[in-house]
Amino acid sequence: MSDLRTSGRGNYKTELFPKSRRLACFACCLLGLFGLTTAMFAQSSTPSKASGANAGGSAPDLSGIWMTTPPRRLGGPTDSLLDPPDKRKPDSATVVPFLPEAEARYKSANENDSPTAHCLPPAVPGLMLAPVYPMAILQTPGKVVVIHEFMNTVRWIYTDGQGHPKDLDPTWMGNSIGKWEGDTLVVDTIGFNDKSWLDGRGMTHSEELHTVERFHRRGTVLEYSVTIEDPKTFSKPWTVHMDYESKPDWKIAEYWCAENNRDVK
Amino acid sequence: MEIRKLVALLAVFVSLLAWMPAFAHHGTANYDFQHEVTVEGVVKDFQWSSPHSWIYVTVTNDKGEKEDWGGETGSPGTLTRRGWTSHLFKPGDKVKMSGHAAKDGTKVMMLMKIQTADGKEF
Repeated sequence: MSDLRTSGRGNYKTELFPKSRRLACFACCLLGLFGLTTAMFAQSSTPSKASGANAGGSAPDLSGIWMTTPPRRLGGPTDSLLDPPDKRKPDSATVVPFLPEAEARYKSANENDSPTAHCLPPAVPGLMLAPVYPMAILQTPGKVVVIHEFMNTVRWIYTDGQGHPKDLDPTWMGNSIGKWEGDTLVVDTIGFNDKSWLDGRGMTHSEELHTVERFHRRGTVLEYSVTIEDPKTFSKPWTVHMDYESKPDWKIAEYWCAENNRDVK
Repeated sequence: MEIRKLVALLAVFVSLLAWMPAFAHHGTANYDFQHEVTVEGVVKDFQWSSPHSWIYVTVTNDKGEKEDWGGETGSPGTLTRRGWTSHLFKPGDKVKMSGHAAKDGTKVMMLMKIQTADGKEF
């Protein structure tokens, strides 16, 4: 697969696209990009209307800027999924169903080893549970794009029914596909690498991590839950709930982590 | 306790929660959350940056010696939402800052509160 990508790109340019066509193509791409961008922002400014994100065009629009609610204790000890406040508490138990080895790893983890301390991204659900940074959701036909201020991270959720690829190279964000169940967007993600942490204290996972997220808009509130499954880390799936509040007047700020990071030794 | 007092207390609590700096980027184990320190001095440098902004204050200690204290606080995005700007502090400004100092004795703190000469708190 990787060979195809590499060699294909070179041949593609030289054989199929002589200079005149390349210029025309470049102009078309620019126009297309402009159109897509305009469409995205047009939709994001009308959060209450259906956007046609699913095949039937009747899906509720999740577009907008969202921030965790209620206000979280910020500046306190690092976030942990083990002692989450309020709705972040796991459904079935206050204790995450660790396998013994995973729990031992967790207890001995050093916070300073967190990938995010090295400007590497948190994955799912770490990004969604990041307490103090907003996210923007842009809903377009066939895709839902989530832009997180934290780490300038972008998630692509494909809602066109394409399914997961059969041969997935592990990535930080994994491969996300979404479908609508009534008014709820259900997002299934696999294909993670094993480098990210699920929380700020060292909850590692394997490449078998599988998450199922549910996004449901209730007026100005976005109800969210994520069910976390990883047979090499947890004895059973477990779920965390969280709410987000619409912040129509907010903007997503820049966050260039390497700008002034003191944690890289 | 009267309900009104309870509501007022809750409001103060929630506003405090919303005020506190933001640290999701790295662990906080290096800071001593059991104690808070307060220093007064003049701003030496204000770094408006990601993942965290820093403010450095030159302080005269008990021995009459000058020492620099660093206060670590939020990213430009989180600070902007709390009313800060990149030019809120400039070298020479008198300030008083409080926070949780580093456990290893270095003169840095997780900034919790900073007060300007005119009494404004951020």
